Amino acid sequence: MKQPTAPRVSTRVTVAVTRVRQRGAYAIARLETRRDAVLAGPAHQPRTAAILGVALGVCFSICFATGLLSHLIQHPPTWFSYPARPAGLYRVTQGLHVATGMAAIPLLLGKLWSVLPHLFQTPPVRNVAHLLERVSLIPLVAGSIFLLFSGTNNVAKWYPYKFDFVPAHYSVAWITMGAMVVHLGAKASTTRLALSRAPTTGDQADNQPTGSLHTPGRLSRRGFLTAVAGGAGIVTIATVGETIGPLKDVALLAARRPDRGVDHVPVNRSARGAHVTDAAQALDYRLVIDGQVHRPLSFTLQQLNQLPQHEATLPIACVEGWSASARWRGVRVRDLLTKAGAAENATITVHSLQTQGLYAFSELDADHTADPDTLLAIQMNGKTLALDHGYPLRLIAPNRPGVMQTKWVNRLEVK
Amino acid sequence: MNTPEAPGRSRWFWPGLVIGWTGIWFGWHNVIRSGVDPTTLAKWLVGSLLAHDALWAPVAALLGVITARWLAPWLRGPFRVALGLSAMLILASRPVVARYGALADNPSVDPTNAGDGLLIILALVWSTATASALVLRRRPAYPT
Repeated sequence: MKQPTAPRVSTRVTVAVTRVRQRGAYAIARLETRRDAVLAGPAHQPRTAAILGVALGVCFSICFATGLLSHLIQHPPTWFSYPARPAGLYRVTQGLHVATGMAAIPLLLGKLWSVLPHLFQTPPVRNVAHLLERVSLIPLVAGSIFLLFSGTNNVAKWYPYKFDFVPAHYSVAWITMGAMVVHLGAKASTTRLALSRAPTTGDQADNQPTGSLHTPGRLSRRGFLTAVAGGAGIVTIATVGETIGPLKDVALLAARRPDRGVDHVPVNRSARGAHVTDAAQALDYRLVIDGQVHRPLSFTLQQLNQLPQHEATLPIACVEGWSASARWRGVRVRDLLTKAGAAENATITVHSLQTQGLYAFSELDADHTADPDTLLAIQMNGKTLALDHGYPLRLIAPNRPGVMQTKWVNRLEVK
Repeated sequence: MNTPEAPGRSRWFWPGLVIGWTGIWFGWHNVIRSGVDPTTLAKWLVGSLLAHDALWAPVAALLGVITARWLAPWLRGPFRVALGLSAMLILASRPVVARYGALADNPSVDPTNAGDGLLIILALVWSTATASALVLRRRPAYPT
């Protein structure tokens, strides 16, 4: 009787490949089944994602608009002008910038959790348009996380990267907002559909599958959204007191307290940090007023004290979101310009004894120069200006970022 | 019941794509123009993405599986909420609590009691979760 021959090598390979393919297909099918089961959960449904997406979009839009305003104030193009009133406007806009940024942290984490199963959708790309939509998610997610990470670090004055925070944060904001516009365009119809469908009795407000047993403790859509909103509320309340005074006692996680610092007002850069300790206390200190003036002038501190003094209650509103009001006393800038024979509303460059860094000088536009509350302050809250607050002279003007309220002023250059 | 994707493509898709990628280009152009090293920044962006997709999300998913296996249903929801909020709060407050940016010559930066503040908030979160769980434990399951 003839013995059966062993299968040929090519046959064995074919069988092995077929088995691998079958097992692979079975594994993928199991993953897809598991993914679809997860997607059926309340936290991952389109309505949940849509609600979180809208909330996140609102936060990011406010954050971007207020951040863009701050950028334009500090780096004004020729077409941009910024008024001196209302005096506390920048305090509000920059406080809003940081507050919406902080609130966006739990919203972003909640949104990413909600849509996570879609990362494993099959097929991963359906057509060219779908590919473009999915590729655009990369700058959206990466940029969002980086913005919140770098912004939070800036508030704490921590810079773990080698590049400059300001241009990096600003550039990534544009990248992220651009990617958000792509996402909005791609998801507009889906979002509208998801938000317009009211929960039916079969669907329930708690989104439990029809015919199932509701077990108390299982997280419903409402529960998930409440948890995310609660997180945003906690983060906001625990930090916003750095600019809203009545909430300072519950600002348990704020990087600044509005009443904590030299003479109970926070300091951004100290005199030692700016390397001006000796120059600011030099006996031959003088304030020089020159440039486009009829009479260049020079004052000692004693001479400035003898000029008519004025008081103004104005906030220091930092780009990091904190703010603190103080009562300032000093000489009006416009009075000094009048003495020098310059126009009251001239544009001037305010120079500091600080010679290094971005804020060694600042530009004062016509509106601010002419404002009666724009002072070269000699006193703060009834006491001589402290060294860290800009002794001997500090510019203080309404509606202006703190970094532009130049400290250790030694020269006004009229343009 | 899942809400299906809207049929067809939104009419805002292509306008959004063009406008959006113009913004993305403008942002990247500003990176180059402002002197920020694009390679370093790109590494931080990719790292941010990986920190979520390769670390945060898998850990969250794993904790979800563990709590589903080991916790009673009435405890699961409150525990997961408390855990998620705690992780988020610790992450968001880390730079301030750890005082990474503290300056010797400027005590107004990063107050020293932020760690105590975080503990107070976490205690409130877990107290609320515990109270919720105890209330839910007494509720019977009901058909939907």
